[in-house]
Amino acid sequence: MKKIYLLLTFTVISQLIHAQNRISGYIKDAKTGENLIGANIWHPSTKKGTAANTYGFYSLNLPSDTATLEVSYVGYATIRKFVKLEGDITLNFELKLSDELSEVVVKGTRPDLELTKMSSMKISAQDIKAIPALLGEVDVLKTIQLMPGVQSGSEGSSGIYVRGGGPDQNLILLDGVPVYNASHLFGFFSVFNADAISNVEVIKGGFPARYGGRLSSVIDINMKEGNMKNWQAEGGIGLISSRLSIEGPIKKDKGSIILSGRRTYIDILARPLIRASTDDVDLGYFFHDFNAKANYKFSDKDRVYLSAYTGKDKFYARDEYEFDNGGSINEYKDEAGIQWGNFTTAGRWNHLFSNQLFLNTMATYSRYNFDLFNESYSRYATPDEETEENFYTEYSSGITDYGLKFDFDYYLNNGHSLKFGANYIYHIFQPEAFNFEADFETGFDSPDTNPIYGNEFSVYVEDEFEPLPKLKVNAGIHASAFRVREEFYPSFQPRVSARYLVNNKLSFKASYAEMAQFLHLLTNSGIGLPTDLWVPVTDKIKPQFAQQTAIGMSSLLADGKYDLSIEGYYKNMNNLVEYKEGSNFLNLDESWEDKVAVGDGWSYGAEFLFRKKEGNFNGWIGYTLSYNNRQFDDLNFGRVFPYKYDRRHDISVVTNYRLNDKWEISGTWVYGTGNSITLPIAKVPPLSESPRNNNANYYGNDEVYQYSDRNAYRMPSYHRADFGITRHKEKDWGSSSWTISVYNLYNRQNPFFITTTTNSIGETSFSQISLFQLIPSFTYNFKFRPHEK
Amino acid sequence: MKNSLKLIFSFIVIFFGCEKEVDLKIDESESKLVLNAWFKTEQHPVVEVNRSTFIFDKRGTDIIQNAEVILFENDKEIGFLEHFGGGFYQNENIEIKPDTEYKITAKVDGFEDITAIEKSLKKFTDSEYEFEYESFPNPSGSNYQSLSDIEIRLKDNGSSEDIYLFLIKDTNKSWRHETSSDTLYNEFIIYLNSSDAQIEYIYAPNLGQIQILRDELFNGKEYTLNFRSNDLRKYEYSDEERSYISQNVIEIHKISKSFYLYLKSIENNQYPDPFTEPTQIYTNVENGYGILATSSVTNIQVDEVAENNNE
Repeated sequence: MKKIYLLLTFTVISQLIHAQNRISGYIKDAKTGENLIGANIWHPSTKKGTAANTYGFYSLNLPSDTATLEVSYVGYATIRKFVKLEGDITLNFELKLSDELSEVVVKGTRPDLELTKMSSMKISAQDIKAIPALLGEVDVLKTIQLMPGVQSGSEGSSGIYVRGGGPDQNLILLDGVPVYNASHLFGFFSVFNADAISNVEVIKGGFPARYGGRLSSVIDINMKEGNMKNWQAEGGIGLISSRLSIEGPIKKDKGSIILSGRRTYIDILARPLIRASTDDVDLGYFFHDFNAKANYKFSDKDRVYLSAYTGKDKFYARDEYEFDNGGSINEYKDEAGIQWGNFTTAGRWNHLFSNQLFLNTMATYSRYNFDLFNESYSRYATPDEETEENFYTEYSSGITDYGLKFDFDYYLNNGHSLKFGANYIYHIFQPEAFNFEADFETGFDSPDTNPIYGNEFSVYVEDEFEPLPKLKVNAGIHASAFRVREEFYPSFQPRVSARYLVNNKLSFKASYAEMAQFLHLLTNSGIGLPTDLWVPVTDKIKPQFAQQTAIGMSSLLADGKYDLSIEGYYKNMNNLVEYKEGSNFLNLDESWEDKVAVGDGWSYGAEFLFRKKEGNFNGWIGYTLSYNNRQFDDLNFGRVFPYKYDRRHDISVVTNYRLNDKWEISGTWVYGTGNSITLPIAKVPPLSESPRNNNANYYGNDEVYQYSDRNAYRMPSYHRADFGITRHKEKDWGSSSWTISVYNLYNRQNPFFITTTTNSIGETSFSQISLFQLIPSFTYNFKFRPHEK
Repeated sequence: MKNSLKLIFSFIVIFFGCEKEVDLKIDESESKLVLNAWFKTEQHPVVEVNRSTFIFDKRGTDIIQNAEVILFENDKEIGFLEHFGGGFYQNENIEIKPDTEYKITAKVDGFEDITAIEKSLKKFTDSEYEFEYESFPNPSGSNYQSLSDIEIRLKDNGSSEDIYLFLIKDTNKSWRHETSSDTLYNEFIIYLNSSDAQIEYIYAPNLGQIQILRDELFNGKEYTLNFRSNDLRKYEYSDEERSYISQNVIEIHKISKSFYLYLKSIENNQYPDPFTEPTQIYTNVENGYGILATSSVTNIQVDEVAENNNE
């Protein structure tokens, strides 16, 4: 053992004293000056490279005095640069968008196969905008759902399901701030306006130690920083909504700002139609969201960012009438509805201590709440007297977070790349609150529903290094703890991922990650409304834990034109929660803690992704084979049952073809095994005590409905094709494009939910309710040419 | 509030949705036998045999009068149960022994044979509880002139997981003096109310409102329960033409875990409410449905006659 220690010490020291040259700097967009997060810098001859961090900063150690470096980023032309390395140097790179270049894009970008990271993918804003979308609203989360291992629930249900996990197990970060409900319009659209997004990274497994707090995925969304050089604006006018973004420099090459907003107007357009068909009841729905971000570079070493997002959905029904009944006046106004929304904001300070040590300090605030409300006013007036009554009820739920975070990137001379940091979040949970106000005697008081306060702490350290020439390892530990009421839950989560680079076209990867989660989402399994409750762990309900193992291979085919990745995974999850059988989330007589059952789950499967990134014709084919089960002592009589989203096969085909500079066509096709469902199957007489009680049926029902085993049946499979065609046009003032898209091209009626119906002659059958059938749409997009001062 | 949700739900379906009939392959289209039995220690066994119907079958469930019902005790056949009406079978020569495994099989032509196995419970003795009640005028003065407060002190046996079931049966009988043959009997389970949070209230069709208490919090200790009910005292009325007697019997059962799971699943089954989680009804009947429930019961009959009797 002593010999091994000596050998290790010698290796480390020899690496430390070996002549090294450090190159560091930022990688930016040439046109806007925005940092390119995750851009790669690669030294082909030594096969050494690194990726720019979330702020575009990189730092790379090279043994030679001269080097030809390749710098690449998705959607941008790769550049090669010969550099002389004389000690430590700072070198910033500026990449140009590939579609701005007339020449052929340089091939040979640093492939994914070189990275230790597995089970992850990056999606650019261009990728998102190239995919045909429902009602022309391009969407980040819908794009993510086209990747293998990521599933949507069903049309009409919000949430993303990653490798068998629940919708609460995804850490959705918008500029580093958790977003708790990422859905507009009951899950049909996400809250992320594609115009305000720079890029998205999705991690399904092999989680680096810097991430924590959720079991199944990290969806890291970064907003644009704003053009540092010129003012510009872009937007779109669609069938149901319009959007506008304005960005520009606060001071050229020093600071920038971006403002972006979006609002639907189906409520305004449909109002006359609805009033006519509902006897003057005013039914409506809208959502809006607004993003803002500003940054300023105080020096080469200090930069400050401020960002905010706010969004709201509201569905309402308003009714009012007044009539004169021969001297007495009756007036009545009523509004009922549901509304929900997020507000997030973050302040960040980047500080470069040296070309090896980078610090990001971040203070965050995030709030999500929904409420169901009903407000009414009535007035009765006669010549002699007048009475007024006001009545208000509200059922609400929400979560508020205050966070403080420190993240260090430390690039050692011996090839080790360290990341370490600490995070603290103060949570305020309001799982259920009921507010009841009336200016008349009702005999009813609002029940006490006090908030629950939680303190979440975490620290992490991770190191990326190459113990052997072809083997690269990222190893670390994430330690976290949660304090709620009098309970304290600590957790140590080891993480390791490794890749073995066989050659320039093939690598094998493996990872193991343990995750802990200190909050749960209670989801009503029957319907798809945003009535899900975020709740903390408590003395009764323990934290969720997961252990995930994944192995895979990544390869380049046909001279790098195609990527193929295959991965297999096994994930075990403990302390999952579900509503108990027979519970109703609106039943306030029972605490939410008494409505839930706790159990375990496990999922396993294989994912295939074949992708063509380059050329006029590009796209991908994804396939997932998965198995996903649950076991709860208090559900299904303790027997194992399939998860609602146990989807055996999931296929997605995405294509994009650029015919010429003006025309572009795109198409997608998705297929998924039907969701599992619990169905009523039989009528059964219940227990009677005995015929000695000759009035046995006195209490009524002599039949009860027997359900199948939990999730024993399947809805029909889900499949759909979408198609879009875009015409681009250059204008004097900038560029514009018309996009005509068709959602659900062959008019497939996909299941939303299954119910039983009885026809006029008393025959009962199962009926499927479907939502969106064939929907054509068009969108006009415009982008003003940057205004150069 | 629920109405608001339904309104929104309806809005989505009306404005975005369409409906079509779907053919989901349900492997349940044939009827199955349903066996329901409540075996009480030291009483003779009674079993009800019915058939289920497919969820979409317009026919209702139906009784089975020609089943071959055989009872086994510790896996040894001990006799047939004979049909005596309404789908019920019994054997008055057999008495359910305490702490013994019973198996019932039922065979009917055209159906798959069904089997249920369950262990009977140990005898519930008088030393395991104390009972007191007090009647008093109803303060609100409505409906019932008097109420009763009931106190039951359970002396739980810590050696096993016990589940207690409480119910009060109001048994009444009336007859005309001239023709005693037209005697009418009625038996109702009356409502009990308790502020004890440990009590689980279950409404079971054909049984009525029953109260359950699990010994999780007081295993091996004493536990005092308090209920309020209608006046427990006996009520007698008689005039020249007819007589009427109403008397309450308090039943305290220890029930099997299977019986508890069955009752809970019946309570939770709220078909077809879309806001309530679907619940499968528990069964311990192989190849069929129903429940072989077991309990050990002690009956307390209140003989005190109410003072306003015969008014």
